[in-house]
This record gives sequence, structure tokens and C-alpha cells, in this order.
Amino acid sequence: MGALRDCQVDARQTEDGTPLPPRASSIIELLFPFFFQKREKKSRGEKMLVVRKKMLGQSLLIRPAVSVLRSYSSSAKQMTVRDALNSALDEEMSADQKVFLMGEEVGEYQGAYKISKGLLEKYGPERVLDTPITEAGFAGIAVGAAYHGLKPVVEFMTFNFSMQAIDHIINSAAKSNYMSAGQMSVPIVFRGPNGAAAGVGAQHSQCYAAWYASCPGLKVLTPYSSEDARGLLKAAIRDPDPVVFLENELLYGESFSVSDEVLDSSFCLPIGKAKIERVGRDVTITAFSKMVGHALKAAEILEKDGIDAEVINLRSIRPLDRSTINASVRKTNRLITVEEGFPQHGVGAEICASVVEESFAYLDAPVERIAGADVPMPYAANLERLAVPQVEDIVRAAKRACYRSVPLAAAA
Amino acid sequence: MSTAAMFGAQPFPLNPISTTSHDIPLVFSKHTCQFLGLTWSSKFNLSRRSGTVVSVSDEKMSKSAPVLVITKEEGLELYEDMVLGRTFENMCHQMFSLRKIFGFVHHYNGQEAVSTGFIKLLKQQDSVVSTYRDHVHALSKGVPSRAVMSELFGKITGCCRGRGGSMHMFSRDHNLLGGFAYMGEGIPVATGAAFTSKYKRSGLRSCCLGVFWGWGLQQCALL
Repeated sequence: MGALRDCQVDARQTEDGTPLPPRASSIIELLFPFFFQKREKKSRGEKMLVVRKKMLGQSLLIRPAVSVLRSYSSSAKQMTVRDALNSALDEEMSADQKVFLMGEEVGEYQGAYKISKGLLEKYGPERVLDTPITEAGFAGIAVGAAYHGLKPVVEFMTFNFSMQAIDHIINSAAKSNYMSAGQMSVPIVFRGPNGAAAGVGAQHSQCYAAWYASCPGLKVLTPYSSEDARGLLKAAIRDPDPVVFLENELLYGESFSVSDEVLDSSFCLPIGKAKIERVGRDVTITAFSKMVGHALKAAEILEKDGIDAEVINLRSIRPLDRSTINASVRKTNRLITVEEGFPQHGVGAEICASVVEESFAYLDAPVERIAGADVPMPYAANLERLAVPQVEDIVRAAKRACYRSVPLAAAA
Repeated sequence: MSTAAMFGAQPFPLNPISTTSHDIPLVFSKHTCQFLGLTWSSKFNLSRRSGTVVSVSDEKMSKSAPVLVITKEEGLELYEDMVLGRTFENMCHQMFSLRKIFGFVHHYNGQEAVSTGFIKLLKQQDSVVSTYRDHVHALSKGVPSRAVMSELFGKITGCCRGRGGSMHMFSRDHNLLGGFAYMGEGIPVATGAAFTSKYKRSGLRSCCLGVFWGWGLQQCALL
């Protein structure tokens, strides 16, 4: 052990990573280290920077709130989907005077599912409109208002009732921009719960994702978590084109953790981009809305059987994020599509066609489609459970895609 | 004699035209319509005046002197609009018979007075929502006839660049909000466009005219 020369680097560090000062090579150096320390010549500018930083450090009050929040972004809050939608509506209505909400029971009753709670008190009856039970009427009125630059958010009590207004959604809203050669922009959002609820029967349980997603001129969004709900609803309201926003009644009460970035009022998710909820290697599972939760649970079960599933939350059915899906299939070589709606001409059929068109050579197994049963939704609870995809169905499909009939021994 | 602008918020100009002995002035009951800006007199007497259009102004009405709704120049303008509509539709029919226009064509021959009579009362900022029988509505609203005919031929120079066709005439510049194919489809859309005036508090400065006929009521969208 001798003294280090200048050319040698003392790599010792203290426990917290700060480099130790170089060893003294003589007693004088030990007693009077100041005279022997190499000091970098700082420019005047650098010295001013140091002074300025010290001054800022003392005046923490000036620091903007956002950066303080971001420094605590590791703390996650819980937020229900209902609160996420409510807060998104509230923020967009306060940001833009042209945004208004209309639908059945959205005002006085605070919303059929309490999504619009508090909005009537805050914005008044001119911006939160209780409509009579005429979907065709108020959807058409909203489209007419959108022609003139207002931004209506139309709530359907369920999307089953949108069939009463589907003429206006498709013919007046979706097609107008094209028919008028771009002269008419329709910045409208149609939102409401979609798909099966609990025991509400055949006429209240259909999933309309495939129907609306087949229509050019519409955008169709299907949020799953609170982050999805907030970001996608804000994006939908800001979008200049008609958007069909398919929520799920059973998800309204579910809580998800949200970061501070999600809670920021400028938070917005891009339309047309899927999210990979769980990265995997062996099989790709695509899902949207409530089925994302089922797919994630199925992935946990599959992991115990040695199958590492990648779960994609589609978020946007139209435009469909084909590039993310195909990239995932090219990685895993197996695909399962999960949806709640009827199987024929469904979302899974479109995804399967897209993968066959673009990534056929990468497929090691036929694409598995998990969908609702090809019957109108029954009422009896046991039949309803059989008519909607369950976690076990996804697990079985994944095993079929991986050509495993017998579960392997679980890894430790 | 009170004067008024034809297309503004004031009563119609009233200019006397040469009368004959059997002419009796036509008088209507008093009704003030703020949107149309018309003011009619308090009495209602049916009468006829051959070859001239009569109406009343409120204070200046006198029984002996006949008064008119429109001036001769305005009358000629309205007449020109109706003749344009008729000629246009006749030509459409010819072109359709020669298979140069295809698909659906719905003619408006014979109804030009309705289109002219209503739409010529509106201002540029007022909107019109029409039906599939919308050629002449577009013409009355001010869309150039060349653009409408090009649209029927499916040309890029059409008012919707060939994308809309006969039943879907749109013009942002002239506030023509389409051309809807379904019966009664435009009624809620027209209501919504009028709702925008209420929302923006632009009130009486704009109105929206929704056109439909008998069978459209069966859709019951607004009933």
C-alpha cells in the first residue's frame, strides 16, 4: 500500500456512494490538506450558478407545486372508476365552456350511476341537462349542437338504449365529416355503461364494441382502470371527432391506484394506443374493459403452471392498436382474444384477421377467441355466468394455445 | 308608408303599385315575430289583389291605399330564385334520365315557393337543415348552383367534393347543415343547432330552419 499517484484512481467510496478524498502522501499533506487539493478552476458563470443554486435552496417557497408533487410520485392513491370519470368530466367542463353534459338523470338525480355527481350544482342547468326519455331526440340535438361547435357529452343510461339513437350516432355524427368533405366537424362524445351487468336480462346486457367499431368515422374507447377512465375520457372530450366511450357498470365501484401524474388536470391518454398491462413471453392475451381484470387473474393462474402470459389492455377498439398486438404476437407466437360480446363478427375476429394478415408466419398455434355465448343474455344467475367469459375459460384457452393438456408442475 | 329590409329584422318595405278599382287591400292580424322581423296589422280581412302581393305595416296601414310586402326588385329576386330552382330540377331530371346522374335523385319541382319563401327570409348566419330533397334548399340558401350540380355529378368541384351526393348537401359557408336521408332525421339536428344559439346566448340573432314533410312526423323524434 503506497500513496496513490495522480494517475491512479482511488475507487473507494463511502457507504452512500460519495467518493473518498485521495489519500495523503505525506504528513504535511495530512495536516494541511487544503494546500494540496486539486481545485478545478471554475468559470465566473459556474460560480454564479453555485451562488444561484444556494439562493434557490433557501427559498423553497418559489418552487412550483407540480414539481413538489412529482417528487412524491411514488405514493399512489386509490381512486374508483366512478370518481375518475366524475373528475375528468368536471375538469373538462371547467376548462372549456363549450363542453356540456346531457342525458337521462344526469342532473337532479346526480347520474343514474352517480358519474355526474355534483356537476349540476357546480355548472348549473344550462350545462348539465336532464333530458326526457328520447334517445333519438337528444342524441340528434347533441349532434346539431356539435355541428355549431359545442362539445356535447351525451350519456346513455346503458348502451343498449343507444340503439334508439344509433341513426344519429352513425348517420348524423360519424358520417357527417366525410359526407361534407371535412366541412362539418362533430366533437361529440357518447358515453355510458356497456356490456353485461348483473341479472339485467337480454335487452340490457349486450356489448356494442364490435358494432360501433366497424363504422368509419367513429372512435371507440373502452377504459378498464381509473387511469384509463380519466385519460381516455379527457382525450375523447378534446377530440374533434365523434367518440363512443364504452364504460362498464361493474367497474364503476372498483378502485385502482393512480399516480399523481394521472391526477393532474392536463393528463390525457393517446387514442389508438393499447397498454401492455403485464409483460410475458409465452402467450398474448388481448382484452378490453372488464375482461382485462379477468385476463390478469388468468395470467396469475397460468404463471403457476409455467406459462408466462402477456396481457394487453386494448383501450381503443377503433382505431385498433394493430402494431402493439402484432409486435406482441411476434414475440410470443400465440394469441388469445377475450371479449364479452357475441362471438360472430366480434372484436376478436378483427384482431385475428389482423394478426393473420400481418404476422401469420409467427403464429405457432391457431388464434383462440374467447367471447360471450352466442345467445341473448339469460336472466338466471348460473346461466348468466355461463354466458360471459370467466377466468377459467381464459386459462383453458391459454393452455390449448400452448398445446398443454396437462398442467406442468408449478415452479417454486 | 313604413319601410323595411326584406331580409333583415325590420318589416317589409311597402311601395304602392298601380291599383284597379276592384282591388282591396289584404290585411292580416297583428303578430310580431321577432325572428322574422315581420309586423302585421291588427285586422284580418281577406281580400284579393290580382298581380300584386300585399301585406301591411302596423301603423301606416290604411284601408284605401293598398300596401305591399315586397318591392318589385325583391319580388324579381324571389322569382329568379324560384325559376332557378325549377330550371335546376328540370335539368336534374334530364340528366338522371340520361343516366349522367345516378343513385337517388329527389326532385323539388313544384315546391320552389316553399324553399324560396322560407329560406329567403333567413340571414347568412341562420342555418338550414334539410332532407334528401335538398337541391333547391341549397340553392335558396346561396350555395352556387354550379357547386350543387357538380356534387350531383360526383365531381371534386361539388360542394361536398363528390362525397355527399344528392341527399347530403352540406355547406359550412352558407350554414347548410345537410341533407339527411332518413325521414325526420334532421328534426333533432335542427333543434340542436337552434339550441346552440340558446346556449351561446346569441338569441335572436340566429335561427335554424328544419325542413320536413308529412311522413317525417311519424318518426316522432320531437313529439
